Amino acid sequence: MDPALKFHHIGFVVESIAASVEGFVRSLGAQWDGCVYEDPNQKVKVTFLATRPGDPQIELGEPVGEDSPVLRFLREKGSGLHHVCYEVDDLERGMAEMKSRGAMIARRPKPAVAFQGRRIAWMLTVEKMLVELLEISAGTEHRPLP
Amino acid sequence: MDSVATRLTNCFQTVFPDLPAAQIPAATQQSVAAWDSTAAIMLINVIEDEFGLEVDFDRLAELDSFERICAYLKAQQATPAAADGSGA
Repeated sequence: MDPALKFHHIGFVVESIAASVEGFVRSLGAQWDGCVYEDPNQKVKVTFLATRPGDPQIELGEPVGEDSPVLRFLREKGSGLHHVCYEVDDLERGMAEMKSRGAMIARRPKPAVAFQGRRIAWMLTVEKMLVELLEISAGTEHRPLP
Repeated sequence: MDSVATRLTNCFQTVFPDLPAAQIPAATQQSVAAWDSTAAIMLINVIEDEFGLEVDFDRLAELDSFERICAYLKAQQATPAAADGSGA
């Protein structure tokens, strides 16, 4: 494992956050702060669940609009695990290192509403695993847990 | 077949090796079963390498056929400044 990568969350795609979040809370014994973020750049709504403090979180993602990339995933594969997210100090360097290992760019860096404008980028590994890279900003390495 | 179409055909052959060459010009996401969201990302990366440009990934949903991608590439070549998708 690249020491520059810090596991942040896993992403699970759902048709509706409102219809599914309570089930995830119940199944995982997770905590949910009730915040749902709509991101026009990513064309999704997302919310986060936390289990043990310090552990990676679980992101539920819901498509927004007919051109949402998540909608396509949902139509092809249904609800399910979608991606893993790692924090990196330097987004461009993180992307370059993944590219050097054969990964492809799936989306170039853009600010993300759910991360207070921190930039994210998407990579697809040789194994076809979708990886979200989240740029670390000073003092915001992890969202505060409830 | 013009140069853009020929080079794009090569890209399709790289990503969809099982797709007969004769079917490539008419290929669409609906007609090619292997053209899923993962293949779409791979195709764009291969096209970027082949044509030396950055495709705006926000337009991925509309680049859903050989014909549309070919038209997009020709438009990008006509206006090189627009080829950089990073400003999107």
